Amino acid sequence: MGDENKELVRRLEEAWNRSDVDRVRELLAPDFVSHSVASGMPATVDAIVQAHQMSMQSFPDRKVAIEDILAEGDKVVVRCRTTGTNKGGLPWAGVPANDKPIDFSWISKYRDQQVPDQRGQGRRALGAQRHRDPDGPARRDAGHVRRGGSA
Amino acid sequence: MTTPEENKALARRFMEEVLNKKDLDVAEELIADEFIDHNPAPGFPNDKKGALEWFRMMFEAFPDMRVEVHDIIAEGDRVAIHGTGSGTHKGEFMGVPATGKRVTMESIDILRNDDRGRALEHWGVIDSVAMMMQLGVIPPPGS
Repeated sequence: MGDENKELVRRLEEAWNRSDVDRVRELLAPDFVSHSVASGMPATVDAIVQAHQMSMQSFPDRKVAIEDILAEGDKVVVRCRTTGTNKGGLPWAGVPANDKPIDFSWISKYRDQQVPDQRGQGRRALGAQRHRDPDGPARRDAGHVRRGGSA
Repeated sequence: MTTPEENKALARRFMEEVLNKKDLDVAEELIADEFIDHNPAPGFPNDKKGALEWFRMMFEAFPDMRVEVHDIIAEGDRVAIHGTGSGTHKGEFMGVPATGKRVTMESIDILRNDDRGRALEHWGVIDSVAMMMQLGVIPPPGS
């Protein structure tokens, strides 16, 4: 189960990197909950898809690389590194496009759950996420955060 | 080589005896001399000495600090710990004088142990903005 869940998380990060929202929705349970630590982070699939799309407008070259992944039972912990360039600005934070690079690492924990598929058979999907990143979105996206969150 | 189960037990011991009982002798024992912190707190060295200094500062800033462990998962030589720490800000913290405010922080950390079960590497980042918001040092977004 651990290896299968790790593969789900790998596919999810690949789908986010391609901005393949349909694939993201397949990989997440319909009632997926993001128990995010950062304040203001959304909780539902729709909201995280919207947040991703906003992020892609700010950082069109945004990429996530998995640096470590471990699993046990129904849980997966993944350590990732996000890089990109502020080419689109962050209007909601009052930050203009400035070509500043972002480079930060974060750790998420996922829990899987069985969800019925269209044929009525079970499939495994990611049911919940706890996410921890170095700083609030405004600060991070402004390009002030160095790798490791030691801003 | 320590097993994942042994590494989990060591992580629990670290959380209970170092973070909750504030016993730095146990930290000294459980952290390898070659320890590297990939995400040290701002202003702290990324080695064992820096980690011990960080704990000492935390214990003075939050003397009643306690960490509740939600989950420990292990694979190979790594252990991930998901917990929530809370405490009252009674001493200087990162240049902020005591505010008497209660702070709660959720965390996920990853440790890689050496073959004797001592912590060799650490990853984990501090949500410093959320913490400073709780201390009232910076305003929450949108305020």
